[in-house]
Amino acid sequence: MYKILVVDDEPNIVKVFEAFLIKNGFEVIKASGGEEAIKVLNSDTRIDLMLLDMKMPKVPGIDVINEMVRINKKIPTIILTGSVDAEIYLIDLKALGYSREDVLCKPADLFELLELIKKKLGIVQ
Amino acid sequence: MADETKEELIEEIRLLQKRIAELETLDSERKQQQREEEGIRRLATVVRDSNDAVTLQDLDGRITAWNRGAELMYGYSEKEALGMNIEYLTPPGKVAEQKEFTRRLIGGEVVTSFETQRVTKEGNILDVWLTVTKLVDDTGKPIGTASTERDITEQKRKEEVLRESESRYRLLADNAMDIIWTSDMNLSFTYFSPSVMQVLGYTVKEILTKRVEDFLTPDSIQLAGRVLLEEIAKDSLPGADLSRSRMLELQHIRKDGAIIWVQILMSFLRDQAHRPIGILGITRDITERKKQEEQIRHAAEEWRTTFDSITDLVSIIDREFRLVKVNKATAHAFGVDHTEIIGKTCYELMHGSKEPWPDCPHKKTLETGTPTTVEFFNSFLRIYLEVSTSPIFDDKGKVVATVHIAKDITQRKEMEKSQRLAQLGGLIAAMAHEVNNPLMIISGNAQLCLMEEIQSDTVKNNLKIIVEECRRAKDIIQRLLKFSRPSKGEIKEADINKNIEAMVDIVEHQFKLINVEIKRNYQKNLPLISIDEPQMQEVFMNLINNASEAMPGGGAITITTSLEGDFLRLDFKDTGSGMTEEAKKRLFEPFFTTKEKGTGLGLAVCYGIIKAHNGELKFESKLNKGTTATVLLPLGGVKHNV
Repeated sequence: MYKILVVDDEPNIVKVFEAFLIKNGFEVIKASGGEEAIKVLNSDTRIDLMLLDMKMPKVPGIDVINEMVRINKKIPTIILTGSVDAEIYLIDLKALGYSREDVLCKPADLFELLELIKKKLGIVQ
Repeated sequence: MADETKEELIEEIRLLQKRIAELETLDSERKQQQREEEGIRRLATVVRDSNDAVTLQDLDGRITAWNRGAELMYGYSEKEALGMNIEYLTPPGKVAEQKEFTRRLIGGEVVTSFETQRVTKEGNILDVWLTVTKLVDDTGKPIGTASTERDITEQKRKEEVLRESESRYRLLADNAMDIIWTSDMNLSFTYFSPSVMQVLGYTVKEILTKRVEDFLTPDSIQLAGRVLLEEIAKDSLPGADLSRSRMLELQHIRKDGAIIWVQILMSFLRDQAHRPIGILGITRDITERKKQEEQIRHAAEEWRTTFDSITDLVSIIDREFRLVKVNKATAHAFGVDHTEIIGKTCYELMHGSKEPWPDCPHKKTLETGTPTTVEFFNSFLRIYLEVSTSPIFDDKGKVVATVHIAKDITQRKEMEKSQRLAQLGGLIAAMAHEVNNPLMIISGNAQLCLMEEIQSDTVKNNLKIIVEECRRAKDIIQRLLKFSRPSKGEIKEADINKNIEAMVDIVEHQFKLINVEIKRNYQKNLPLISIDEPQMQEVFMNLINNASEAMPGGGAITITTSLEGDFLRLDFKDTGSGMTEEAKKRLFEPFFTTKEKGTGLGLAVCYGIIKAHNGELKFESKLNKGTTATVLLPLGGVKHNV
């Protein structure tokens, strides 16, 4: 079973994703902020994919990505954002090897999300 | 008898001879006496008829002879005078002097002529010139005096007048700061008053040895010569005023070489036949005055320059609202010569109206006597103005005029508007972003519900609607966010024609379906320009869509590209219904829209993007004629400070 790390500071959003992902046969690990996410990344826990919200207080999404690069643990990531900010981050993200395709705008269509997850994990339906 | 001897004869002859000689002597003596008497008689006549008073006095001073001259001079007849003591003819103060003088004369001193005073019968005092001699008898013994008196009263008076006027003139001439001078008709100088020293540094003696070229500049000599000829010519005209004077300004060269300005007033000196024989002049040093004039001129010039270099519109307006003075900027702003504005009313010029507008600051300052400031949009000039008026008081403290300063604050207002928009944008962005999360939750939960077994179709539909509307809300928010922060795209050099064409390409087909024709008017070989391409496309898309929406029944959109100075100019012209005045004013207001389903953010977004490129977006519109949107982009490029 694939393990997906869901990172968002909004608990109700995490709930939605969790419910959806579990329904679709994934295991979900939750992080309510960047700090927690980094902790998880640095632990031994296996993560197959990360759903990452960008705009979080204290430790934003970009820091999580930078941490991934630092510890050389480039997990497939889907970036969630409130849209325009993504454009700003896009330039930074490009440098880190991510592109527009890795970004999903909230409110996201859950099935679109599923498609993207499958694609990233290389799951053929 | 015969003996009367020879001796007796000789003696008789001798006696006779002696007698004859005696008789001859007597005769000659007699003749001599006659001659003397004749001489005396003649002299007596002279004396008698002389105008001078000739009188004789005895040793006691009693008059013994009195001529006609004395009669006329003193008013006493001969009869009255003879026997009178000359003391009566002497004024009281002079009596002692007279006595002393007579005593000395008699005593042998030679006393010459001198001046003294006499009193007439009527009591008038005369000034006389007195000559007195001693009278002696045959033995040389003094027997009296002889006086000759000449009335010099008139002469003295004349002398006094002359002396007085001379001293007066001397006082003037000596002390005048001005030089008084005379010359002949060839400008050969004959007199200079001493003040020449003060003015030119030469003594009178020195300057009379100099020629005119030594102390007049060449130009001044020419001028003087010309004026002289003119005045000579004037003289020959009928009715010429012979006592006229001519004034002119010249430059002198002082002894020390300095050049000074003087003002000369001259007139001709004339002979009995009124012909000019010389020139009389009075010369004043006007260096000080010239300096002051120059200072005044300079100050006025400085004032004028300052006044005119102020870029704000400055004017002075009187109580009747008339423009008394305007600076260059004001004349320029209204496109008229400043002579055309003076005298016009301020409301006529600035507002094109027939009376002052109610918020007129000039009016307020006239009433309150305090400075007033207002901001308003001047529809005449089509700019935002900040107008301040300050009162000008007269001596009595009454407001007689105001200084009216109008500052073009259009730029400031636009910046304020940009800032406001930016602030608003920032606010909106923050809020929009926050809304995204709840929307996600609503949408997500609805989607999750839809994944459950739902019996009711209604419920299923309702849930579907929820998801659908959340999506719609997302779109709106996307646009809102775009407005708040034009995305930081890449700035590249682009061919604007290609850019526009790319976008036109996309819409052309659709437009044809709604009868909207697109006409292209691209200028060839336009320089490349640095722009954020996708953003610009957004702008063009917006403008083209607006254009097409303005022509619901179809029409034509003409897109023109050209070069205007340092700017690239893009015109999007439609043949639609045009904009109302109100719409024109509120064009860029966020959320202002005339469309049914418009968000009112399109143009606000465009404005933001264009401003970020340091460009300009303008609209020209006439109701029922159409609208032209003009985009100006500086060729200098974009500043990366989005």
